[in-house]
Amino acid sequence: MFKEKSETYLSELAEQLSQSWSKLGARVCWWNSYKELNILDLDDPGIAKEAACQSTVEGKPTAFVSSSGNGNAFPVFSNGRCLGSILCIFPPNLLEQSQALFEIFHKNIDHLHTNFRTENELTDLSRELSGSYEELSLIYKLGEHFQITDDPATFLNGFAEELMELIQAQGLLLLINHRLSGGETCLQVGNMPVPGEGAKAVCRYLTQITGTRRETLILSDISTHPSLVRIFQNTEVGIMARPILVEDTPLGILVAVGTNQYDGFDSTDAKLFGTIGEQTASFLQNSFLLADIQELLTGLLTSLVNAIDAKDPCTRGHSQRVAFIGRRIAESLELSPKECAQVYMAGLLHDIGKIGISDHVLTKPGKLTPEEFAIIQQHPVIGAKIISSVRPLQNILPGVLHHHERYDGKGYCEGLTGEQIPLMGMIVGLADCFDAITSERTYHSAKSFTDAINEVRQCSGSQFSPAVAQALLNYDLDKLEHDLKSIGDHNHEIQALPSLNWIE
Amino acid sequence: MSENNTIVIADDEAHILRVLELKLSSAGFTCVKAGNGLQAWDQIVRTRPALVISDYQMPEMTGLELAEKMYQENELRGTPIILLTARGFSLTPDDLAQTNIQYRVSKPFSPRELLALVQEILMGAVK
Repeated sequence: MFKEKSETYLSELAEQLSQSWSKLGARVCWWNSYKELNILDLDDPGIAKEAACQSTVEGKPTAFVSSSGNGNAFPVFSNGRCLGSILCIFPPNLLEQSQALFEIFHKNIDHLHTNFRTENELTDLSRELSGSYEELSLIYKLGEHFQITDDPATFLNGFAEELMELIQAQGLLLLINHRLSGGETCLQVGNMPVPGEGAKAVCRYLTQITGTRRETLILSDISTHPSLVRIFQNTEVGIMARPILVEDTPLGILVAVGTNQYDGFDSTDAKLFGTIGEQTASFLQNSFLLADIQELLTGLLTSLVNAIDAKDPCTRGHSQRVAFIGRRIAESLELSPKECAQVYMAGLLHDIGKIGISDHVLTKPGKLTPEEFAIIQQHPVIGAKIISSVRPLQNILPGVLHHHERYDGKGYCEGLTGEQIPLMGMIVGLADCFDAITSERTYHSAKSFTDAINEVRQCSGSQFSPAVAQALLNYDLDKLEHDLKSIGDHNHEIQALPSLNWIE
Repeated sequence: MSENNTIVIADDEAHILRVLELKLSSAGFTCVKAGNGLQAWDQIVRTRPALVISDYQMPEMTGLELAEKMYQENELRGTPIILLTARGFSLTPDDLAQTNIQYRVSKPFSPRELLALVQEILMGAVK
């Protein structure tokens, strides 16, 4: 490799010189340290070679006389190493001027040599610059493109390939500690020599070593870490590890793995890795906060629903059945998953206002007086007021407020007609009625599903919106009956909600 | 790839030119450099490149003006142009209407991605 390089360089140099100097009749050739002379048609190459050799040994120009004329050999050095020698022979007719000419020639070599060197430096610098651009570009990309609603795998994949190429790693690992549930997730990208449990074990081990130091650890080889050697079954592995910390709390660790082909991780790689690590910390922190909020909200809702049940044991389970039926109607209407989840929540909370109704009215057997009826009719408004102070629940307010409206306008509380009634209200209203008909109440006994269906059909257009009623009738009612019987604790349905991300 | 693999690159910052030239020539393209809009125009007319990569902010003529000038020449109208701009800078559709600017890339750019873009455009995969 070195030989080729010097050969090309010397020959290029000689070529350039020859172009101008040959016009004077001078001959330019080169001799490299491998003792090769490129111009073989000298009458006495031996003399020339000797001079060249001497010049490289002494490090200065060496004159010689050949049959072709006076010559001089000029050594050429690069980075302290001797590449060889450039020889110049002037014809006899230039003998007088040859001294001066040699000086000029020497200067010429120096200038050209400097140019070549500078050009090489520039190319090297450009290469470094290009690398820096790649890094910057990656960091900007990370800053601009990640969304906190992304799951960690999406986030990791957003930069993994570019990062691995930049630092020349074969694999990337991200271990995330879920501080809430105490679980661990280990994500990996690339060619990991030890997938699955092995990867987790590597991360755990590295977490122990790095602790809570906000630094990037580099292990050029793992021979001093027997645990790692055991896992990798190999010592030719390089590791770079960066703990993901948020205010000294470890959220996980980011690990880059270099296997047989890797070049070694240097300080530039470490710096970039550190920056990426910090970005990852930001991302994870935000993700966790978002999960916290959602968990808080669902906990809140669970409490509210439990409150309803506690208030009126006779209707325990009613809310969850209304929610269930309501969601099926929404699905039958082909609403989006988010809207279906909202209808579910509205169903769960639709009777929350009953908390504000006194017991003797609420659980009175037999007929209610007009005054008592008026009191009961307040519950949608009371319910709406209760949930109105929780901002994320604003979306389900219509379901609570309007679930007693009628399509023909004879409902309460606002007496809305037809399409004025929010869809959510109509759905919850229908679900509410349906469940009431099929349940035991203080004011009537349970009717069969078939009877209930008929009532719905009859009341379509008057009490219920035709479209919504039809959506219920379209649904597989045998399945519905079966599913309703087996609804147990509704808590698991609530827990499933955060994954639907129904909070704005 | 088409026979013509000449790319004219124009930027008043020499280091950008060097980085671009390094990356593109290592992939087999012939790069012709220009330090301002006018020089770029001269080189484009002279070499009829397959592609032009130009900075926006340049002396003598901006990248946008250069693109517009090219658009007005029948022979140059079809030459695709990649415009390099500062981050956060945006061009309206009106600005771009009288040009054949195919892509806008913000600085600092990833040389690797830019090369991939160039290859895509010249392979005809992207119109």
